[in-house]
Order: sequence, then C-alpha cells, then structure tokens
Amino acid sequence: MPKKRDRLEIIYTILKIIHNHDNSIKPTPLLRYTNVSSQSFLEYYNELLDKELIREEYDKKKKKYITLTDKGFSFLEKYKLILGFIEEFEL
Amino acid sequence: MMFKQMIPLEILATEIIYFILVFCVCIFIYYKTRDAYNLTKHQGIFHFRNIFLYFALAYAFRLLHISIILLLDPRMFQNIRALQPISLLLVGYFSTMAVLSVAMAALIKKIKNHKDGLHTLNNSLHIVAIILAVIVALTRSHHVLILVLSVVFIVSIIFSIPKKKTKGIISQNKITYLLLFIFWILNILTLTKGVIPQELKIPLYVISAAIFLWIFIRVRKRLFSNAKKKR
Repeated sequence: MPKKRDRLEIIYTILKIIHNHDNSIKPTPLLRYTNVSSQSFLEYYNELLDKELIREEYDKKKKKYITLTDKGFSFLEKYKLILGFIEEFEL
Repeated sequence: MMFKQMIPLEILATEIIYFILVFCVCIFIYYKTRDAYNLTKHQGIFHFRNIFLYFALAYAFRLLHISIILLLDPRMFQNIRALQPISLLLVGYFSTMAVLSVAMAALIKKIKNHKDGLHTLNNSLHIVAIILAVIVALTRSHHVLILVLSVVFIVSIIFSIPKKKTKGIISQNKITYLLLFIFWILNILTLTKGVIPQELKIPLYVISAAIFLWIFIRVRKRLFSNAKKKR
C-alpha cells in the first residue's frame, strides 16, 4: 500500500504544480493534478492563501488564476532543506 | 554594605561567561530555524525552537538567581528572602517549559494527527509550567524543582516508548534530549552549595555548552550548508 502523503508533502506538491505551469494555473486543473479530495484541497488552498504562499489573480475576463508569492518560491527552494531538518531531528 | 564582603568574583565570572555562551547558542538556534517555521508552521519545528527559547530564558534567570545568592548579603539586604522565590519561580517556569518542549518535540509525531487538541495542549503546557513553578517557589527548594522536572521528563519518556517493538538503538536525537535534560538538572544542582564541588563545575559547564553547540552545528548543517553548495 502506498505511503499516505503528509501535510508538508501535499503543500509542496500544490506549489510545485503551480510553479511547473509557469506560475499561473486555474483552480480546477490544480485540484485535478494535486490528486486529493476536493474538501481536503479546499483546506490546503485556504491554508496556503492564509500563509501567503499563493495568491489569487484575475485576468481581463475575470477568470481566476493562482500564482506563487515570493514566500511560495522561497518555500519551494527551501523545502528539501526543511525536510532534511525535520528528518534529522525526528519532528 | 549591601554586598557580601568576599565576593567570589571568579565564580561569578565563570557563570557569566557560561551564560553568555549558552544563551547566544540557544538564541542562534531559535533565530536560524525562524524561516523554516514561518514557511511551514510545522508543530514539530515550533516545539523544537521553543526548547532553545525557554532554555535561553531559564539560563538567564538562573544567572539572576546565582547573582542574588552570591552578591547580596542577607544580613544587610532584608528583602533577599523575597527575591529568591521570584527568581526561582522564573527559573522553574522557563525550565519546565523547556523540558515540556523537549517532550513535545519528541512526541509530536504521535500527537500531530489530533489537530484540534494540539492548540489546547500547547496552551495547557503553560498552565502546567506555572503551577509547577509556583510549587517550586513556595517550597524555595532546588530539589523540588529537580523532582518536578524529573517527573515531567519520565512521563514523556513513558509516552514516547513505541507500542510496537522496533529494531535498533536509541536515536541520536533522543540521546540529545536526554543530555539536555541531565545537564540542566546538574546545572540546578550547582545552585545548592556543596552538592557539586567547585572544581567539577567548569568541566560540567564546558560539556553542557558543547551539547548546545553540537545541536547548533547540526541545525546549521541541515538548514544552511546545502543552500551554500547550491549557489
């Protein structure tokens, strides 16, 4: 049975997906690529907005896009280091 | 004169140098892990950082407590009896919080799935620490403080024992936490006259500071070395 992804890994996945889509993706494809239930996705999505790791932007047709903030980019850069730190100290 | 006739300056100087060393290392660890916590809000990192914040404060008030004992003459300074329980209360509170944070950092993997209860648990740590510190201050005894911390630590060890038998030796981390605890207890024992001989204090302080330094090096290596290599 595959290992259940932990919270931090899902956050990383969401941010990585946005990053891989030229830092601009609509909510529905993001939910699809993330591969979590829509309820879970909504929780993570709101958490990422609260933590200012992502932000919502609207184009001329008032369509919503999600992009990474500077903090979001910083998270992606430091994710591996933080993960190593968490493993080292068994947190 | 308010001060004691024969101020043991060497003792005080040793204590100040030791305090500065440990305090700086603790604050460095707290500061260096700030980004990791701010980005993730990871509960494990939160408690890990708190260990060093509370130890830094516990060492600061330990120095204050020592200064009161060493410098102020009880015959001339009438209110000294009122000051000692206050400094002991603060040492008791911050060291209990540090030990509770050690326990939380060791147990966080087991309890972080219970998201709702975690906030309540974090708040109740302060209440437990306040109650225990008040007991210590009322009894005015370093030995009661040691007893209180030992009970807290033993309870956390019992909870951290895995239900399933696991292979392998005790992890490096558990040893680190154990050493932090043992050396803090020895630090409290130095407050009671005659328990630890003067000539043993300096080696004890050196080892104690080395443990903090060792943790700092590990933190730095994990969070910063790779980043520099990448650049």
